[in-house]
Amino acid sequence: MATPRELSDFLTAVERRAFMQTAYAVRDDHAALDIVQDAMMKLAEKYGDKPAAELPMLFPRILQNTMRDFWRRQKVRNLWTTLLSSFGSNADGEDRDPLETIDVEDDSDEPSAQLERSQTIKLIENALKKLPTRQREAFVLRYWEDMDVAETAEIMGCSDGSVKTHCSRAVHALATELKKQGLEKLGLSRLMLSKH
Amino acid sequence: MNTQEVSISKNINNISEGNLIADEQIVQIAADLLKDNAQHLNAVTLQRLSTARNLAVNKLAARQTQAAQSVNQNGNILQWLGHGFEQHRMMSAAMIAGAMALTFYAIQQFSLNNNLKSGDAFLLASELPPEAFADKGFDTWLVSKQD
Repeated sequence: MATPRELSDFLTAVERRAFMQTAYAVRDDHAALDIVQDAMMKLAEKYGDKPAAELPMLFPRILQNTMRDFWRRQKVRNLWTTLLSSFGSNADGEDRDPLETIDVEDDSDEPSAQLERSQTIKLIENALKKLPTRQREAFVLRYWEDMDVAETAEIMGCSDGSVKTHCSRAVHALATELKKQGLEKLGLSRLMLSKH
Repeated sequence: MNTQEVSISKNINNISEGNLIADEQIVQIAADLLKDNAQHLNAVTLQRLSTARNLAVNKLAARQTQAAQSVNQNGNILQWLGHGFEQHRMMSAAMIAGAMALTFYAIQQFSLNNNLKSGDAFLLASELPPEAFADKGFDTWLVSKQD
């Protein structure tokens, strides 16, 4: 049985990347925080009697299931929103152009290397968000969490072969997108990483 | 397939394999950058994550404390029984007394019924008429005969 101390140490180690991974998946920082909090509570409530060694395998699974619950709720909510909004119109009677409301970040104050780094990160994040869900899950678990094929298969609830397929497609899709964005100079990014 | 074709085929495979390795390297570098970026979250996000973590840890601690208390209360069955009797002593005593009284009454009824039956059987089996047993003078003669 994991002690509160062990649970605290484990969550401290994983909470940041759990948040980032969830944010990429749901594309909403506030929702991502809620999802991570729900997953932590579920881990404590329902799996508090498991040993500490099992927590690294349990938590990613719980997190993914919580994300799926979020998407299901979103789907129902969006359906109602779409139905209701089709009966309404804005006060001026004109269609709003969504492009007019997109915020553009002003990053002209950042030093140049940091700016390049943050732009690189943004491009990688955008590429990751474009991946299908299963490919993104496989990429995150294999390359970010450094899990092996068997562990990834157990968390994703599929076979080893499926994991390899998802990984292979994810690698190809990501690499293609990053090359298209001109990030073949990622070797330079590695230098930025080492200097940081 | 001739030698040249085999060589071209090998080169194509090498290029494909080379591309795959290059793609893997690109993706691994991207993953490393993402890992590094995850360490630089803003203060508000870090605070919320810390709050969520503390809530979960407190929840686990409360669950484990409750489970431990429950075991202490119910762990020893004899203690549990004694605890029960202490609380329900009067009711238990009343129930036992009632059971005893019922048993005594039942035994009495059973014995009386048996006596009645044996009495009827005796009368029917004896050579004397039943009226003789109702005569008080017969009882006096019987006693004097025994003397």
